[in-house]
Amino acid sequence: MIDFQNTFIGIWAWLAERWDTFHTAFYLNFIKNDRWQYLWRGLGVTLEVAFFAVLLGAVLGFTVAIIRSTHDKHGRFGLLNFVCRVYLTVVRGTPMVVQLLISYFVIFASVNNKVLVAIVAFGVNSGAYVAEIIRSGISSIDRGQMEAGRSLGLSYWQTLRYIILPQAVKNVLPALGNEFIVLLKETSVAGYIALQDLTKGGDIIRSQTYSAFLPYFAVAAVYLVMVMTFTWLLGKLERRLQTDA
Amino acid sequence: MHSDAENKSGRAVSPILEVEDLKKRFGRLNVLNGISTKIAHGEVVVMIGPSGSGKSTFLRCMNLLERPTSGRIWFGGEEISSGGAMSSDGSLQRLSHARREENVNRYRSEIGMVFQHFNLFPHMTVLDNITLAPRKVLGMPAEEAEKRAMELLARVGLTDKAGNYPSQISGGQKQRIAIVRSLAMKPKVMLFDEPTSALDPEMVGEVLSVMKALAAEHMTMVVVTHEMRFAAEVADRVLFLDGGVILEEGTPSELFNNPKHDRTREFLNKVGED
Ligand SMILES: Nc1ncnc2c1ncn2[C@@H]1O[C@H](COP(=O)(O)OP(=O)(O)O)[C@@H](O)[C@H]1O
Ligand SMILES: [Mg+2]
Repeated sequence: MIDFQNTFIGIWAWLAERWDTFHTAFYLNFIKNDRWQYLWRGLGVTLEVAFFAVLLGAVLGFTVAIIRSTHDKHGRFGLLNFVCRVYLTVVRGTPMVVQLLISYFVIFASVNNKVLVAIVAFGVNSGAYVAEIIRSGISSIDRGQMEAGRSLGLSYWQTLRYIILPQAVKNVLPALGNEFIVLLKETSVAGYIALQDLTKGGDIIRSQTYSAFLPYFAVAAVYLVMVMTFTWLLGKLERRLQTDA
Repeated sequence: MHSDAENKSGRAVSPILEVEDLKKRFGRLNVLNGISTKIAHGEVVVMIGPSGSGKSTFLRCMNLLERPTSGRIWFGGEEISSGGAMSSDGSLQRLSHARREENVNRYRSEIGMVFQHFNLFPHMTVLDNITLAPRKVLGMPAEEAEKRAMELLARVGLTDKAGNYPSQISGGQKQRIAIVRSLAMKPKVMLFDEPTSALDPEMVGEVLSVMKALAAEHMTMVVVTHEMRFAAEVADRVLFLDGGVILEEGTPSELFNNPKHDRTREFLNKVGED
């Protein structure tokens, strides 16, 4: 016959021991010496870099997409179009980490502000992907839309702004959202230029406590929560845009 | 430069639109091979012709959605195919791209165009579709633009659709809205490119009756259509386009009852069968 009481006590003892171990590890990695602050401050840096890089990427992406589309349609902006194509090829043909290293150690070698360099590097990188997404959105719009706008006397730019771009952006919103998520996660390589972002924060804790499990899992969990929140918000936005029109 | 045209009643009137030896080539394809015609104030011209004969291209050249390969177009006495670069004595001045665009935009704002597939802006309500151009091109205050839009909507019986999106209304309603959208710019000429061809048969009538009402108000209209009854009833003049030239023209009764060319007769027989 099974001794229920002893089995129960055994399990309980085992759990208590695990809890003790976990508690000790948790204390060591996060509480002791206020180590949680590495993650907290790192999160701030990650959000700051990602936020401004998204803005820069959006501005660059829209500009490049409009130049490229206008060139494809009207043959204007030959030189600018060439510059844009070089930009797209180089940025999309080289790894992000290498771009970051070159930005920090070569192009902006004299700039001390690591956050600024990271924003520019990630923004310039993201801009290239945003540009191609927006451009595909623009070319997905029926050409009758441009013609209708122009036939009413709207200028090319007015038609682009009021008629083409709103529809184009709506069509590529999922791809844009995905690009922003990719960018957020990609900022995790910022540690290569010794920027103390969220990932680097976890790394520093590990180097102090010699335990990898908790710091890295905590870092992963924070990214996951951010991405899931953003995905959820994006879904809401998409549904809202779907209902009108 | 532009002599007087005559309308159906034989009255000499100055043309609002005058096209002189218009040619259009796409790559190696010669689509328009020298079209000349004058369109008088208040005239209703119906253009017919087989598919691919260049009817759409001709209309699109008239509001410069296509750039003519050669030839001239005068609008209200002003040469516009050069983008305003030609002065009244016929000499060409240098104009920047931006200046030419400006002139072309102003010119287009005075010519309405209605498309086969409506081309309403799907991301805007009916009201916004109508008020966008008056606000952005004419600088009309939003309130005034909306008031005017509602008046025009009332004329086509669609005030209750003002807040709807294009996806929520029928094809016939869309086309009536598209006409109203053009009218909101107070155009001097309206161009129609097969406005009823994409409609279910039961919706053709409601669009044609709006067009008839416009004609009755002496709007200058150039209409590409296969609706021969409409042409017979409303047109002052019918043009038969074939192979990029005006093969034959005349009053509806001349052209429909006594076509001079075999090609015209052939075409009319074919259309009559439908
Ligand atoms: N943008 C364009 N590029 C090349 N070919 C064109 C273009 N637009 C029209 N065409 C050609 O010109 C000819 C006349 O077309 P269109 O004016 O649309 O005729 P219709 O309206 O009388 O049917 C067709 O052969 C068509 O394929
Ligand atoms: Mg056509």
